[in-house]
Amino acid sequence: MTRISLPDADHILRHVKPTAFDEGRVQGAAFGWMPKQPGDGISVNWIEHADGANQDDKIAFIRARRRRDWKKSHKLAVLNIGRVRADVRQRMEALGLALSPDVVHDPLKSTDKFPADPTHALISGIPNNDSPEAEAVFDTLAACVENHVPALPEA
Amino acid sequence: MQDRASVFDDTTSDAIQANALLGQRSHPRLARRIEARPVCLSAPLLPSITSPYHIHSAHGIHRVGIEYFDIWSQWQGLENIGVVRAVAIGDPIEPGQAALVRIVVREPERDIVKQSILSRLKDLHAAAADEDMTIHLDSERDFRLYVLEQMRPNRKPAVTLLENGNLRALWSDASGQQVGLQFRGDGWVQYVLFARTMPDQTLATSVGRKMFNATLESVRQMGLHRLIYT
Repeated sequence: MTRISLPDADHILRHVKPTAFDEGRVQGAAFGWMPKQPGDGISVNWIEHADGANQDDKIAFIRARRRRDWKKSHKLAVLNIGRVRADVRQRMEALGLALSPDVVHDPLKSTDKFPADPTHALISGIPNNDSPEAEAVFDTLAACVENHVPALPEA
Repeated sequence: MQDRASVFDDTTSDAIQANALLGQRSHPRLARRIEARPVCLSAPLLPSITSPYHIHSAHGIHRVGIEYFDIWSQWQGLENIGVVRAVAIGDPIEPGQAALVRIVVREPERDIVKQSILSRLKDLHAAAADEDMTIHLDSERDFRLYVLEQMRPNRKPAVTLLENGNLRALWSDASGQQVGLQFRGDGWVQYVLFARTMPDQTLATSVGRKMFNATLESVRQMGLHRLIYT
Protein backbone atom coordinates (compact mmCIF):
# COMPACT_ATOMS: atom_id res chain seq x y z
CA MET A 1 0.00 0.00 0.00
CA THR A 2 1.33 3.42 -0.92
CA ARG A 3 1.17 5.89 1.92
CA ILE A 4 0.97 9.59 1.27
CA SER A 5 3.58 11.92 2.65
CA LEU A 6 2.23 14.54 5.04
CA PRO A 7 2.68 18.29 4.38
CA ASP A 8 5.85 19.95 5.66
CA ALA A 9 3.88 22.74 7.32
CA ASP A 10 1.80 20.36 9.46
CA HIS A 11 2.54 18.82 12.84
CA ILE A 12 2.60 15.43 14.52
CA LEU A 13 2.10 14.28 18.09
CA ARG A 14 4.19 11.64 19.83
CA HIS A 15 3.23 9.99 23.10
CA VAL A 16 6.01 10.22 25.76
CA LYS A 17 6.43 8.21 28.98
CA PRO A 18 8.00 9.86 32.05
CA THR A 19 11.02 7.56 31.65
CA ALA A 20 11.83 9.53 28.45
CA PHE A 21 11.23 13.01 29.82
CA ASP A 22 13.81 14.84 31.91
CA GLU A 23 15.28 18.30 32.38
CA GLY A 24 12.00 19.75 31.11
CA ARG A 25 12.50 18.20 27.69
CA VAL A 26 11.40 15.22 25.67
CA GLN A 27 14.45 13.00 25.22
CA GLY A 28 15.52 10.64 22.45
CA ALA A 29 14.24 7.67 24.44
CA ALA A 30 10.72 8.77 23.49
CA PHE A 31 11.34 7.68 19.91
CA GLY A 32 12.72 4.18 20.43
CA TRP A 33 10.60 1.64 18.61
CA MET A 34 10.46 -1.93 17.34
CA PRO A 35 8.75 -2.83 14.04
CA LYS A 36 5.63 -4.99 14.25
CA GLN A 37 5.37 -5.47 10.50
CA PRO A 38 7.25 -4.56 7.28
CA GLY A 39 7.01 -0.88 6.43
CA ASP A 40 6.36 0.04 10.02
CA GLY A 41 7.66 3.19 11.68
CA ILE A 42 7.37 5.37 14.76
CA SER A 43 3.72 5.77 15.66
CA VAL A 44 2.48 9.39 15.73
CA ASN A 45 -0.70 11.38 15.13
CA TRP A 46 -1.26 14.01 12.45
CA ILE A 47 -2.64 16.97 14.39
CA GLU A 48 -4.08 19.02 11.51
CA HIS A 49 -6.09 16.00 10.28
CA ALA A 50 -7.99 15.68 13.58
CA ASP A 51 -11.44 17.19 13.98
CA GLY A 52 -11.56 20.32 16.07
CA ALA A 53 -11.57 24.10 15.86
CA ASN A 54 -8.24 24.56 17.63
CA GLN A 55 -5.25 22.52 18.77
CA ASP A 56 -6.81 21.66 22.14
CA ASP A 57 -9.88 20.24 20.40
CA LYS A 58 -7.74 18.33 17.93
CA ILE A 59 -5.66 16.83 20.71
CA ALA A 60 -8.86 15.84 22.52
CA PHE A 61 -9.96 14.09 19.29
CA ILE A 62 -6.67 12.19 19.15
CA ARG A 63 -6.81 11.42 22.87
CA ALA A 64 -10.24 9.82 22.48
CA ARG A 65 -8.81 7.40 19.90
CA ARG A 66 -5.67 6.32 21.74
CA ARG A 67 -4.89 2.62 21.77
CA ARG A 68 -2.40 2.66 24.60
CA ASP A 69 -2.66 3.45 28.27
CA TRP A 70 -1.97 7.16 28.67
CA LYS A 71 -1.43 8.45 32.19
CA LYS A 72 -1.33 11.84 33.86
CA SER A 73 2.45 11.59 34.13
CA HIS A 74 2.77 11.17 30.34
CA LYS A 75 3.36 13.91 27.76
CA LEU A 76 2.55 14.52 24.14
CA ALA A 77 5.37 15.97 22.06
CA VAL A 78 4.55 18.27 19.15
CA LEU A 79 6.88 18.17 16.12
CA ASN A 80 6.83 19.99 12.79
CA ILE A 81 6.80 17.52 9.91
CA GLY A 82 9.06 19.53 7.60
CA ARG A 83 11.72 19.88 10.25
CA VAL A 84 11.55 16.18 11.09
CA ARG A 85 12.02 15.29 7.44
CA ALA A 86 14.92 17.71 6.90
CA ASP A 87 16.81 17.19 10.15
CA VAL A 88 16.52 13.40 10.17
CA ARG A 89 17.57 13.20 6.53
CA GLN A 90 20.61 15.37 7.24
CA ARG A 91 21.56 13.30 10.28
CA MET A 92 21.19 10.03 8.40
CA GLU A 93 23.40 11.33 5.60
CA ALA A 94 26.02 12.26 8.20
CA LEU A 95 25.76 8.72 9.58
CA GLY A 96 26.02 7.16 6.13
CA LEU A 97 22.61 5.49 6.39
CA ALA A 98 20.99 4.65 3.07
CA LEU A 99 17.39 5.10 4.18
CA SER A 100 14.70 7.58 3.16
CA PRO A 101 13.02 9.10 6.18
CA ASP A 102 9.48 10.37 5.74
CA VAL A 103 6.29 11.13 7.66
CA VAL A 104 3.38 9.26 6.11
CA HIS A 105 -0.34 8.87 6.71
CA ASP A 106 -1.34 5.50 8.20
CA PRO A 107 -5.00 5.69 9.26
CA LEU A 108 -6.14 2.89 11.56
CA LYS A 109 -9.40 1.04 11.03
CA SER A 110 -11.79 0.42 13.88
CA THR A 111 -11.49 -2.81 15.87
CA ASP A 112 -13.61 -4.53 18.48
CA LYS A 113 -11.89 -2.46 21.14
CA PHE A 114 -11.04 0.80 19.43
CA PRO A 115 -12.67 3.34 17.12
CA ALA A 116 -10.99 4.21 13.83
CA ASP A 117 -8.12 6.67 14.07
CA PRO A 118 -7.86 8.77 10.89
CA THR A 119 -4.97 10.81 12.37
CA HIS A 120 -2.53 7.93 12.80
CA ALA A 121 0.74 8.39 10.94
CA LEU A 122 4.26 6.96 10.89
CA ILE A 123 7.75 8.35 10.86
CA SER A 124 9.10 5.83 8.39
CA GLY A 125 12.41 4.95 6.81
CA ILE A 126 14.45 5.19 9.98
CA PRO A 127 16.61 2.60 11.77
CA ASN A 128 14.66 0.49 14.23
CA ASN A 129 17.26 -1.48 16.07
CA ASP A 130 19.32 -0.85 19.16
CA SER A 131 22.25 0.57 17.21
CA PRO A 132 24.19 3.77 17.91
CA GLU A 133 22.96 5.12 14.57
CA ALA A 134 19.34 4.58 15.57
CA GLU A 135 19.97 6.32 18.87
CA ALA A 136 21.46 9.32 17.03
CA VAL A 137 18.31 9.55 14.91
CA PHE A 138 16.11 9.39 18.03
CA ASP A 139 18.12 12.25 19.55
CA THR A 140 17.62 14.21 16.34
CA LEU A 141 13.88 13.66 16.57
CA ALA A 142 13.92 14.82 20.20
CA ALA A 143 15.64 18.02 19.09
CA CYS A 144 12.75 18.61 16.66
CA VAL A 145 10.17 18.75 19.47
CA GLU A 146 8.62 22.22 19.48
CA ASN A 147 6.62 21.87 22.65
CA HIS A 148 4.80 19.32 24.77
CA VAL A 149 1.44 19.08 26.45
CA PRO A 150 0.03 16.75 29.15
CA ALA A 151 -1.16 13.45 27.72
CA LEU A 152 -4.32 13.72 29.78
CA PRO A 153 -6.13 16.97 30.53
CA GLU A 154 -5.37 18.71 33.79
CA ALA A 155 -8.02 18.08 36.44
CA MET B 1 52.89 9.30 52.00
CA GLN B 2 51.03 12.33 50.92
CA ASP B 3 50.32 15.38 52.99
CA ARG B 4 47.05 17.14 52.96
CA ALA B 5 47.14 20.81 52.08
CA SER B 6 44.81 23.55 51.13
CA VAL B 7 44.67 25.80 48.14
CA PHE B 8 42.74 28.97 47.65
CA ASP B 9 43.01 32.16 45.72
CA ASP B 10 42.39 35.72 46.75
CA THR B 11 38.92 35.79 45.28
CA THR B 12 36.36 34.68 47.78
CA SER B 13 34.08 32.16 46.20
CA ASP B 14 32.40 29.05 47.34
CA ALA B 15 31.87 27.83 43.81
CA ILE B 16 34.46 25.15 44.27
CA GLN B 17 35.78 23.80 47.53
CA ALA B 18 38.98 21.94 47.12
CA ASN B 19 41.64 20.27 49.14
CA ALA B 20 45.01 19.61 47.68
CA LEU B 21 47.07 16.51 48.14
CA LEU B 22 50.74 17.04 47.63
CA GLY B 23 52.15 14.18 45.64
CA GLN B 24 55.29 12.24 46.23
CA ARG B 25 57.05 14.22 43.55
CA SER B 26 56.25 17.54 45.12
CA HIS B 27 58.81 20.05 46.28
CA PRO B 28 60.40 18.92 49.58
CA ARG B 29 59.17 21.96 51.45
CA LEU B 30 55.68 21.51 50.11
CA ALA B 31 55.79 17.86 50.94
CA ARG B 32 56.03 18.56 54.65
CA ARG B 33 52.86 18.33 56.58
CA ILE B 34 50.72 21.30 55.77
CA GLU B 35 47.93 22.66 57.82
CA ALA B 36 44.53 21.88 56.44
CA ARG B 37 42.00 24.62 56.03
CA PRO B 38 38.99 25.33 53.86
CA VAL B 39 39.76 26.01 50.26
CA CYS B 40 38.20 28.10 47.55
CA LEU B 41 39.08 28.14 43.89
CA SER B 42 37.25 30.83 42.02
CA ALA B 43 37.27 29.17 38.62
CA PRO B 44 36.29 25.72 37.46
CA LEU B 45 39.14 23.28 37.04
CA LEU B 46 39.37 23.68 33.33
CA PRO B 47 42.36 24.20 31.07
CA SER B 48 42.22 27.93 31.54
CA ILE B 49 43.42 27.83 35.13
CA THR B 50 46.64 29.77 35.28
CA SER B 51 46.04 32.30 38.02
CA PRO B 52 48.21 32.27 41.16
CA TYR B 53 46.96 30.47 44.23
CA HIS B 54 48.18 30.31 47.78
CA ILE B 55 48.96 27.19 49.74
CA HIS B 56 48.75 27.77 53.45
CA SER B 57 51.03 25.68 55.60
CA ALA B 58 52.56 25.76 59.04
CA HIS B 59 55.58 27.26 57.36
CA GLY B 60 53.82 30.20 55.83
CA ILE B 61 51.87 31.06 52.76
CA HIS B 62 53.24 29.69 49.51
CA ARG B 63 52.30 31.46 46.33
CA VAL B 64 52.00 29.02 43.49
CA GLY B 65 50.84 29.25 39.95
CA ILE B 66 48.72 26.30 39.07
CA GLU B 67 48.83 25.13 35.52
CA TYR B 68 46.29 22.78 34.09
CA PHE B 69 47.74 19.36 33.79
CA ASP B 70 45.23 16.60 33.30
CA ILE B 71 41.64 17.00 34.37
CA TRP B 72 40.81 13.62 32.87
CA SER B 73 42.71 11.80 35.54
CA GLN B 74 39.57 12.17 37.60
CA TRP B 75 38.23 9.22 35.70
CA GLN B 76 41.16 7.04 36.55
CA GLY B 77 40.30 7.04 40.21
CA LEU B 78 37.42 7.72 42.46
CA GLU B 79 38.73 10.66 44.40
CA ASN B 80 40.74 12.95 42.22
CA ILE B 81 39.24 15.72 40.21
CA GLY B 82 42.49 16.27 38.42
CA VAL B 83 46.20 16.56 38.53
CA VAL B 84 47.54 20.06 38.26
CA ARG B 85 51.05 21.32 38.14
CA ALA B 86 51.81 23.91 40.77
CA VAL B 87 54.81 26.12 40.12
CA ALA B 88 56.17 28.07 43.06
CA ILE B 89 56.41 31.75 42.28
CA GLY B 90 57.18 33.25 45.67
CA ASP B 91 58.61 32.73 49.15
CA PRO B 92 59.21 30.59 51.00
CA ILE B 93 59.45 28.22 48.06
CA GLU B 94 62.17 28.85 45.54
CA PRO B 95 60.64 30.56 42.52
CA GLY B 96 60.36 28.21 39.61
CA GLN B 97 60.26 25.09 41.72
CA ALA B 98 57.52 22.81 40.61
CA ALA B 99 55.24 20.54 42.51
CA LEU B 100 52.56 18.20 41.43
CA VAL B 101 49.34 18.82 43.26
CA ARG B 102 46.38 16.56 43.13
CA ILE B 103 43.16 18.35 43.89
CA VAL B 104 40.20 16.65 45.43
CA VAL B 105 37.11 18.68 44.98
CA ARG B 106 34.52 18.97 47.66
CA GLU B 107 32.17 21.13 45.76
CA PRO B 108 28.66 21.94 46.94
CA GLU B 109 27.63 22.31 43.31
CA ARG B 110 28.73 18.77 42.52
CA ASP B 111 26.97 17.42 45.58
CA ILE B 112 23.78 19.09 44.39
CA VAL B 113 24.20 17.52 40.96
CA LYS B 114 24.82 14.12 42.50
CA GLN B 115 21.71 14.43 44.65
CA SER B 116 19.70 15.52 41.59
CA ILE B 117 20.87 12.46 39.66
CA LEU B 118 20.08 10.16 42.58
CA SER B 119 16.64 11.75 42.85
CA ARG B 120 16.08 11.15 39.14
CA LEU B 121 17.13 7.51 39.51
CA LYS B 122 14.60 7.12 42.30
CA ASP B 123 11.91 8.66 40.09
CA LEU B 124 12.90 6.36 37.23
CA HIS B 125 12.54 3.30 39.46
CA ALA B 126 9.05 4.43 40.41
CA ALA B 127 8.15 5.21 36.79
CA ALA B 128 9.57 1.87 35.61
CA ALA B 129 7.38 0.02 38.10
CA ASP B 130 4.38 2.06 36.98
CA GLU B 131 5.11 1.39 33.30
CA ASP B 132 5.91 -2.29 33.75
CA MET B 133 9.48 -1.67 32.64
CA THR B 134 12.72 -3.07 34.06
CA ILE B 135 15.97 -1.28 34.79
CA HIS B 136 18.87 -3.64 34.05
CA LEU B 137 21.05 -4.05 37.12
CA ASP B 138 24.26 -4.11 35.03
CA SER B 139 23.33 -0.82 33.41
CA GLU B 140 22.48 0.89 36.68
CA ARG B 141 25.66 -0.41 38.30
CA ASP B 142 27.76 1.04 35.46
CA PHE B 143 25.80 4.30 35.51
CA ARG B 144 26.42 4.76 39.24
CA LEU B 145 30.09 3.81 38.98
CA TYR B 146 30.96 5.87 35.92
CA VAL B 147 28.69 8.90 36.21
CA LEU B 148 28.41 9.34 39.97
CA GLU B 149 31.81 8.09 41.11
CA GLN B 150 34.20 8.64 38.23
CA MET B 151 32.87 11.41 36.02
CA ARG B 152 31.30 13.40 38.84
CA PRO B 153 29.80 16.02 36.53
CA ASN B 154 29.00 19.49 37.78
CA ARG B 155 26.10 19.64 35.37
CA LYS B 156 23.21 17.23 35.64
CA PRO B 157 22.55 15.15 32.54
CA ALA B 158 19.10 14.19 31.36
CA VAL B 159 18.72 10.60 32.57
CA THR B 160 16.31 8.30 30.77
CA LEU B 161 15.31 4.67 30.83
CA LEU B 162 15.32 3.06 27.40
CA GLU B 163 12.92 0.40 26.20
CA ASN B 164 15.78 -2.13 26.34
CA GLY B 165 16.12 -1.55 30.10
CA ASN B 166 19.36 0.43 29.96
CA LEU B 167 19.98 3.83 31.50
CA ARG B 168 21.19 6.73 29.38
CA ALA B 169 22.76 10.05 30.32
CA LEU B 170 22.67 13.00 27.96
CA TRP B 171 24.41 16.35 28.25
CA SER B 172 23.47 18.85 25.57
CA ASP B 173 23.52 22.55 24.82
CA ALA B 174 21.40 24.99 22.87
CA SER B 175 23.63 24.76 19.80
CA GLY B 176 22.81 21.07 19.33
CA GLN B 177 26.02 19.65 20.74
CA GLN B 178 25.61 16.60 22.92
CA VAL B 179 27.19 13.73 24.79
CA GLY B 180 24.82 10.77 24.98
CA LEU B 181 25.98 7.70 26.89
CA GLN B 182 23.94 4.50 27.12
CA PHE B 183 25.26 2.18 29.80
CA ARG B 184 25.05 -1.36 28.45
CA GLY B 185 26.76 -3.20 31.30
CA ASP B 186 30.19 -4.81 31.69
CA GLY B 187 31.84 -1.42 31.08
CA TRP B 188 30.41 -1.00 27.58
CA VAL B 189 28.97 2.34 26.58
CA GLN B 190 26.99 3.20 23.47
CA TYR B 191 27.77 6.81 22.64
CA VAL B 192 26.19 9.47 20.42
CA LEU B 193 28.31 12.61 20.15
CA PHE B 194 27.40 15.76 18.24
CA ALA B 195 30.06 18.49 18.19
CA ARG B 196 30.22 21.88 16.53
CA THR B 197 33.76 22.13 15.30
CA MET B 198 33.17 25.28 13.23
CA PRO B 199 30.49 27.98 13.68
CA ASP B 200 27.54 27.75 11.28
CA GLN B 201 28.61 24.34 10.06
CA THR B 202 26.94 20.98 10.33
CA LEU B 203 27.52 19.20 13.62
CA ALA B 204 30.22 16.55 13.51
CA THR B 205 28.70 13.20 14.46
CA SER B 206 30.41 10.29 16.15
CA VAL B 207 28.54 7.18 17.28
CA GLY B 208 29.58 3.72 18.39
CA ARG B 209 30.21 1.36 21.25
CA LYS B 210 33.38 1.35 23.33
CA MET B 211 34.54 0.64 26.82
CA PHE B 212 33.93 3.54 29.19
CA ASN B 213 37.44 5.04 29.30
CA ALA B 214 37.81 4.86 25.52
CA THR B 215 34.43 6.57 25.15
CA LEU B 216 35.55 9.41 27.37
CA GLU B 217 38.67 9.82 25.27
CA SER B 218 36.38 10.30 22.24
CA VAL B 219 34.40 12.88 24.22
CA ARG B 220 37.58 14.76 25.05
CA GLN B 221 38.92 14.60 21.51
CA MET B 222 35.74 16.21 20.22
CA GLY B 223 36.01 18.96 22.85
CA LEU B 224 32.69 17.95 24.41
CA HIS B 225 33.86 17.58 28.01
CA ARG B 226 32.80 21.20 28.51
CA LEU B 227 29.20 20.05 28.30
CA ILE B 228 29.79 17.89 31.36
CA TYR B 229 31.94 20.36 33.28
CA THR B 230 30.58 23.81 32.69
